[in-house]
Amino acid sequence: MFTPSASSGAGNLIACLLTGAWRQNPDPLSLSPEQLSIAAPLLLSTGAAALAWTRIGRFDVTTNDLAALREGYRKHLIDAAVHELEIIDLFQRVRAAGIEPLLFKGWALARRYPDAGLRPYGDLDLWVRSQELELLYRTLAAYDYSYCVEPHITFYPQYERSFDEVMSKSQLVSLHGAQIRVPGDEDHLRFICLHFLFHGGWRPLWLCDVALMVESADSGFDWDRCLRGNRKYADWVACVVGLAHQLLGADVTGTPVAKRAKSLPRWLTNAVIRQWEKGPGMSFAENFSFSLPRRLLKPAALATSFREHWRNPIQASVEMNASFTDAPRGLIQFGSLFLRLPEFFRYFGHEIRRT
Amino acid sequence: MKRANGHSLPKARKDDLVTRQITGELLVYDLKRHKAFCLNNTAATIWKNCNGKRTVSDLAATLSNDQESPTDEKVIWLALDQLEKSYLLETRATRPVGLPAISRRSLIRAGILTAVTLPLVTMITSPVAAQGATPITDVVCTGRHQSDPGGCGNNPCSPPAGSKCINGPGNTCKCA
Repeated sequence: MFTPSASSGAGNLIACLLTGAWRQNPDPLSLSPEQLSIAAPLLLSTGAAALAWTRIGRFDVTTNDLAALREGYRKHLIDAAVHELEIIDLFQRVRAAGIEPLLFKGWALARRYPDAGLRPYGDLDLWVRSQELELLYRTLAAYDYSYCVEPHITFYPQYERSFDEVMSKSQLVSLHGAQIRVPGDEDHLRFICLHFLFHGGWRPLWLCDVALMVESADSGFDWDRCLRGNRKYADWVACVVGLAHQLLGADVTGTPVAKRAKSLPRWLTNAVIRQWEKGPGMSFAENFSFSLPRRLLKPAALATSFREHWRNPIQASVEMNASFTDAPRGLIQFGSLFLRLPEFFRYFGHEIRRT
Repeated sequence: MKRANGHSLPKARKDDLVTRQITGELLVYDLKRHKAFCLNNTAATIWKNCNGKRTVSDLAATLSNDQESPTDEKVIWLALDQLEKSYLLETRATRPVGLPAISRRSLIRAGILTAVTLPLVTMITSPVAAQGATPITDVVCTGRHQSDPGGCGNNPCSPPAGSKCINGPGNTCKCA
């Protein structure tokens, strides 16, 4: 049994708690109540509560923090039951309109976990052909549904995969008798690795998804298909797999990324750990230019905003299309700041006119 | 469901509910009210057996059989009160005249603590994972593009309250 040291920071605690948590029988872990009180709020707010709970002991609820993690598991489990009905309903309606969509993330990943309550999800991410988007909107508008559908027609350019390419290797997965179309594992793993990077790696749950997919990859998994394309972006994907290996103990033995996984730049692992210490929110931080007019009169709030909107090294590297070398990231972070200046002034102008 | 004497017998609600059984607990989601509940084993056994035909005495006997221990009818009333407050009963049972309000504390004080665990229905209130996002303005939303990293983001828009930043026509985003 692994026991984190008393000096472990919050980010390291999260990593320890989630090590192997996606497996059928994760190794039990012992934490002090003090350590748990540090980790619990971060786990709850980033959706990793249930996964952590599986490691600390399902039936030995002795502290409020542990009880909160268990409550998280209950919430995720019953929400999953509802979402499954929503997915079936959505596919029936969309198919009736002649659209065959791909379901990304969410249930398409959660279904792989050993228990439906371990991996929460909310929105239903659908990828459709661009020419089908208007029809999809009309179809959705035609009936009263309470769930949240997020249609996509494109993803990150670095994904380098067209809808038709992904569709050609997609798979139909049974959900209570309904057939739900999800991407092939190779295309999905590539996507969730890039997604993790574009969001600055703030959500530990996403790295568990990567770990789970890598460990689920059997001899039929086509790594060439997953990594095919620009070598830089293939290296980005390999680095995320490496993070899952180094931070969460994912087994990468025998994969073509195993060597890279063991030699990541120090700044990369540090950036993820530091981000995990901060909890949720960075991906959706209020646009600084929007808040600036209000915050100019409050220096403390202004300083906080500046800090919040300084890109972490991962997001900055992705925005600057930089390679993940050992080179320091400071210049890249400044570059990212300048890159966003036009956007900043555009929004700022809007807000000044509004206020 | 009414008997000849005009008294109602408890009947569990079935419509617009989703359930999941886990070890020792039954989770119930109310699709109408968007609320989730956790029923412990005792409450779940009573709820499942509320078919509009069983009396409180019948339910007590059923629970006794299930848990191999005698059950006081007050335990059943405690469960029915909680189930009713949670809108999990289609038909409530007619309370006998003079039956006082029953609480867990009153049962413990009265010494009605048998081997049967007292029923418990709790609302599941755990914070939802970070799907909920910081609200953004319409200006910020419409300034985004679907092709941006992260797409339109799906953040709540404020104003208008209750809307989200979702894909619009072409490559645009809109609050809707």
